[in-house]
Amino acid sequence: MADSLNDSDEALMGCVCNGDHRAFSELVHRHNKMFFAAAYRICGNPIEAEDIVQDAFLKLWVKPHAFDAAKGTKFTTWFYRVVTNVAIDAARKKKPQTGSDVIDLMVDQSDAADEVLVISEQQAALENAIQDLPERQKIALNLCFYEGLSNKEAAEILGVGVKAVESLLMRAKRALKDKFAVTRQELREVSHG
Amino acid sequence: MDSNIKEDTFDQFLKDRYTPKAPSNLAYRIIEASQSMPQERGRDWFAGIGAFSRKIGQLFQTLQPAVIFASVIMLSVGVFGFSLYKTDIMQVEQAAEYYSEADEVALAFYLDDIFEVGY
Repeated sequence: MADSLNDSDEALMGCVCNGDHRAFSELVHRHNKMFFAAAYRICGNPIEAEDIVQDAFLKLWVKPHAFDAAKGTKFTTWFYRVVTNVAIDAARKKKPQTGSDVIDLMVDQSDAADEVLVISEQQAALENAIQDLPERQKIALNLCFYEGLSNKEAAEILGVGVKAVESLLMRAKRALKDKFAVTRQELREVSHG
Repeated sequence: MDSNIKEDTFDQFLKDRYTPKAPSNLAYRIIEASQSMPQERGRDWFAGIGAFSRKIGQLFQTLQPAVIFASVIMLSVGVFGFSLYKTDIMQVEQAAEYYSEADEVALAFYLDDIFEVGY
């Protein structure tokens, strides 16, 4: 039985492999928010992101041996890969979203959460632009830029080399820059509020 | 220098991306859903074999047209091939028997000739 609060993620996974449901619960409590955000950044839809995170955690519970601690992989790196794969599968099954759908969903979510949010036009445009990126560029950008993973970790998740990740990142940023055609003055205005 | 500033401010612009908060009951829902799901036992060879045989069973239970067609073709090829092989073997055996009988007759005549000459 796990001494949940102090155990590392990898130790908890060892307990999950032995059918310890408390260890699984601890992992869910620790990481559900972080992976919800990661799933949302891939799919751009909060409701779908909930399903993705739930599916990924249920896969973890049903097949915990898929995580091999002996390989020295961090739990979070491995689970990013699980979430990413579930999100990609989900994205391939559904029809593509239009830009206005994404904006509507963002507004809906803010209502549901009773949050007072001002979603600027620029933020919505940024979300649309990122969602429009090719799949691998988007995932590379999400992993390295928003999730704070190293290029090596992102390469492991994407199943490519580090150089390929660097290239994907560079192309993603260039595409976003081109899309916004941001001048230095406009950028200063954004950064200064 | 200019391009560095531009890069930094663009990065800051990207960092301002909106991300909604996870629903507060998400963890509870996941844990609840997992309680009704049995775990698969990893690295269990017997479980693997069991799953494989179940899949094969399901394949034939569903009686998919393609599977039936492929099975019939394979069976036909097998039966036809075996019958050809069997025919060849029988012909060889018959030929061997024929030649061996012919040799025996020839030997008998030869021996008869020898004995006649001897007497």
